[in-house]
Amino acid sequence: MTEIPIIDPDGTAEPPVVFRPTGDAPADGTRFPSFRVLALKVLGVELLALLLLWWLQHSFAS
Amino acid sequence: MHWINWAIVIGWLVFVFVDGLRRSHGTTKLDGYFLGNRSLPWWAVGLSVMATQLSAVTMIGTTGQGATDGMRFVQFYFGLPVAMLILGVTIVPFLMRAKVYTAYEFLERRFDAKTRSLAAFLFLLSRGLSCGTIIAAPAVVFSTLFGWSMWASVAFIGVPTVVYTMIGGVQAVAWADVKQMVLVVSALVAVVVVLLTRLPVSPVDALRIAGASGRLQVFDFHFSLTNTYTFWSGVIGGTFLMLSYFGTDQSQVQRYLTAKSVDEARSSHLISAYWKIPLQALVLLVGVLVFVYYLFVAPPLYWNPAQDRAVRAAAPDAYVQLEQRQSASWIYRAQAMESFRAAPADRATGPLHRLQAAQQEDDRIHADALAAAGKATGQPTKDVNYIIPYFVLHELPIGLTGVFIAAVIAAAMSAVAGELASLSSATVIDFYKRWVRAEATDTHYLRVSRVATAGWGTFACVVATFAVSLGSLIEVVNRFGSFFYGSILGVFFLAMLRRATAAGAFFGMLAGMAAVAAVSFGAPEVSFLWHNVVGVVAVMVVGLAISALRPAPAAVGA
Repeated sequence: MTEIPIIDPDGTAEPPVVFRPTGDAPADGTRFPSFRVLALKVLGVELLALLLLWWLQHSFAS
Repeated sequence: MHWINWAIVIGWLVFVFVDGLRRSHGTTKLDGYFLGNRSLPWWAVGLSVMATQLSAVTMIGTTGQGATDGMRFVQFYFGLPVAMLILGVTIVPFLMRAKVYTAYEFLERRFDAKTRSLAAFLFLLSRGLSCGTIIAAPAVVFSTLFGWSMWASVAFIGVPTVVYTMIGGVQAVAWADVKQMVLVVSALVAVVVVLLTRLPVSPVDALRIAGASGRLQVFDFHFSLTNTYTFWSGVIGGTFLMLSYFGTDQSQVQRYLTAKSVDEARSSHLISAYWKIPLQALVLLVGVLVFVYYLFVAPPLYWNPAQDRAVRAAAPDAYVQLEQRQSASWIYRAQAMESFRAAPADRATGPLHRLQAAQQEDDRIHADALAAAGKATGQPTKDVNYIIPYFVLHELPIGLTGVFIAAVIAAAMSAVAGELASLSSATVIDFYKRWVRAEATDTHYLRVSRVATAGWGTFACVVATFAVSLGSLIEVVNRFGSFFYGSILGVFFLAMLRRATAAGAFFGMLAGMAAVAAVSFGAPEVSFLWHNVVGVVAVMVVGLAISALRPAPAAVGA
């Protein structure tokens, strides 16, 4: 079978993903927060939601 | 239904329809039709994403599930925030920077045409039929409640949706979704307020009664491959399902491809990450409060009026007996509830057991009533989808009933419009433009896109009209579609690994589908939430193994 060569849309072979686990400022000047800040925010909010549901379940359980 | 309610419903439909047409001005190029010129703000994209996955089934089915089964369904969404987080740093930037129209287009750029076409074909097959079922669910309920034919019910929901999607494209869909989302949330909040004011007990007492009846049980920490609604199924299986759905399903991908930038696309996803669990909890809480309401107000023997009429006609003696049993049970349950409510917390055990026994007796009577309805109608006997409509039509004040019915229609329209836009884009971009006519003017492609939208809309309406008789076929195709969900996610994960080859991706995808099919048929008791995990793992293992055995020739630019 003939392999079709990889064609990268940006003209580079690197996948266009910038993974920033260290919290460094994005090099391309974007405003999006670092992965660490984002993870803390999202997981923090989810934890809060789960704690509220836990409270709902246990405060009104007989 | 009162004419004021009808006026609200019709007024809303006209507003959405006219605004959708207004949004179509300036949509003269393919970029505008399928991607809204990549100009939508993050909050509009985020609300559109939420609206697309919030269908009429959520408004009438999930609320009904809250009334009968309580809050535990919310566990299904526990993996969603994690999935959104992962997508924000993986697939979203991939697809945004690739400047593609469809998720599957990217697969050809990274792998090859056959991988792209297979994924797009499977998407069209499964989503085409599911679009029909999205219309069918509320259409069946409207048909029963208002005595309309299925054709009329389907047309009422389907025709305006198809027309504004066909003319306005994704821009009309996204802005309509924003309005629909505001209406849906407002209607839910208004119903909660009405319920709390109508209940003869305080909100705290109402929640205490709901808790005593097991309706506030959220968490189940047992690890089970067979139970869909557990904490671990939601967190692990749910994460993979949400990754597949939000990351690779064109109906969702098309939404965030309309965003102005990668950052805006990621921000739009965070709306779901933050708000999906609270929204689902609100939807279920409406059902829980309706359950409590009917502890104080005598409920009907049947929520579904068609079942009521059928049993009255076919077995009048049995109907009277059931009604008498239910009436006695309701009085006993009301007394048990009063003594439970009056008992101090340290002496509530006895009244609690009495209340639970009364509830079990009521459940038995309801099961008997549904069995009688099954005999009389020869139809499936589930009535969960009729609990909230019954409450809305009989208990809500004039005006709010119209708002809620409009919200149900809005939820159906936004979900259907999103599906139609994505079906049209996959048809035109992944098949017509790829295989039939690669070079043509935007005017030509725009015309074809509108024809494709109209075609899929007509197909969905026909499927919806015959959904009851097509039930088993739709189930088979949906099951087939579920085989592919985890597998396509696995292919996208492979795309991020440089060593993965086209052959690895294509045969990995087939292996993933085969693995899910084997689990689905070999161990049907395994919950579908785990199928996606199986699919991803199989694709990754087989795909990487084939890639290692048959490395790709030197890639362009590598």
